[in-house]
Amino acid sequence: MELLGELTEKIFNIDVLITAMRVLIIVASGFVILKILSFAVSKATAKRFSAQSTMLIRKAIFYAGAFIVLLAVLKQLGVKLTALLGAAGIVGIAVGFASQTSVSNIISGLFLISEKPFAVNDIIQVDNIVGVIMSIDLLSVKVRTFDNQFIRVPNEKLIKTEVTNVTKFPIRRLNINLSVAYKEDIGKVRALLLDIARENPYCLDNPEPLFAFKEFGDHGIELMLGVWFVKTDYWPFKNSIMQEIKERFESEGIEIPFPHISLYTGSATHPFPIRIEKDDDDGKGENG
Amino acid sequence: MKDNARMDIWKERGLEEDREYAVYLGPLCLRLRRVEDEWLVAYDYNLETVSTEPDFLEKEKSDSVVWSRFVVNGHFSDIKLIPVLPDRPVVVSSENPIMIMPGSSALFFVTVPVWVRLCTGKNGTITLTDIPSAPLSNTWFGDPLNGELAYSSRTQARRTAAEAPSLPNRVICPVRVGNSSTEPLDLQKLCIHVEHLKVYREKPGESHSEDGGTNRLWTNEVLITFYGIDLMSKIDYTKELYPIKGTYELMSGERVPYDTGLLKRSVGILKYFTHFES
Repeated sequence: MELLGELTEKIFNIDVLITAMRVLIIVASGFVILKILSFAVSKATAKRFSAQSTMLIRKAIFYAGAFIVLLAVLKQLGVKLTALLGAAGIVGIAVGFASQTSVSNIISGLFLISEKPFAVNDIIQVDNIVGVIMSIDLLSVKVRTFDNQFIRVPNEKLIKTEVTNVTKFPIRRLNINLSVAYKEDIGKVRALLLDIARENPYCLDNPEPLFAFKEFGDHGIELMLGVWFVKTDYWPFKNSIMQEIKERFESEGIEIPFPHISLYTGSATHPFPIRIEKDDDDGKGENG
Repeated sequence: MKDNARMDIWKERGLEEDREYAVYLGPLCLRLRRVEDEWLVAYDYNLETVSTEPDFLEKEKSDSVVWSRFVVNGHFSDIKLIPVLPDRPVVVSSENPIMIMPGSSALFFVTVPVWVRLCTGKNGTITLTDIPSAPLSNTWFGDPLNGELAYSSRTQARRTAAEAPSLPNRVICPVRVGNSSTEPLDLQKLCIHVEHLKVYREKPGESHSEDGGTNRLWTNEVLITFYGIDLMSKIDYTKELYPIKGTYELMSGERVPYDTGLLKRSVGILKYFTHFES
């Protein structure tokens, strides 16, 4: 009974109660102030900075403030901060060595956020990954592929590798490489291709479609048609113009050559003479 | 010979239930049907035989039409067709090169295909849909980084109202271009933000042959002042209407109210790149 009394006296000592009250007030007021501060800062920066930068600033303020509140609480509890900070430094070095990759990702994330090579909802290509950016976080970028898979790409990889932002600009050019047989009239082919581009509803009039004579290829004349379109029309545009080129070439009798080898015996005009042999019952051959 | 009621496609009219109607306006063939609380709308274009006179008539039902269906609460039998301007800017290219000398200005009459707005309900307050009266091709105005998507149209840029073509599906837009720079202005194309313009019609019965028109559609006047190749052009979508002998009636308001004093690059004199990249 006496022991219980001593314990109660120790716990409910007026100094302890005062300290507990102070800690409570510091934590409660610190939390409220931090919430208000981060909200106000995010509101103020929302118009000037991107959503990603705003989120980063808000989090930085909140965590820095929370660290200060923690130090204040420890001081109230009588913990010697110099010793604690010294120990924290040693622990920090150990953790730093252990988490080099994470730190590298965080620093890469900061570069990505400041450099802004892409934004949320952009379509990017990294190695074999093509998809829409869902979020850009401190450690990684989350991508949703077109077959609805979730891919987490570490920020460090994005800094080191070549990233293509497919939807950075509002319009794009589709370069259609095709070849026609050597016998075809290139002027007619050019007029036909430009006419196909003009009639396609997704093709932009301006910038004008580009026709280019690339080279004399192994199997035919290599050409290119460069046509501009609005970035959101990629698939309907590509599907329609490819189909139209195939159909119009067929209807106009323009040959799209496929890889083949022609054999000649010294003359480019005469075909290689062929003799067809047929085995008869008596084993004698027959000339064809 | 069509009667005037059939040709005046813009007036409100009641449609019998479960009957099919056709509206012909330029290359547009619009089909309408009303079934209980639904409006059925279908359209296609006949670019080979473009009708020079609008027409609104009853047709036999066709089964091959793919309808768009609009459900409207309340059994409204009236439909009103309203001419409205396209929902994006229109880039008008001149068929022949035009040079405007420094300090000079010129008034051009360019024409733009209208869109047909289908309205029903009390006083036509319910908009069903907007349908282009002619297929318009897309174009890009400006550089590939900062330009804007627009429709493309070619014009002969007529200089007098009498010369402006009296086509039923096109609205005449008077554009006054002034050159306040020190260099001649090579006017290749104009970007007109038609979403800031209103559509008016010459009042039926007040047409004058010397104006060249019969019930033509007009917009309010556009003023463009060119200050130089590197400077922004000033555009003003005025409230002024080109003076004709008759009077105008308002058919539709602007889609987007114009913010006065807005400066935009509206005169295209640069040729954009199409360099070959292997």
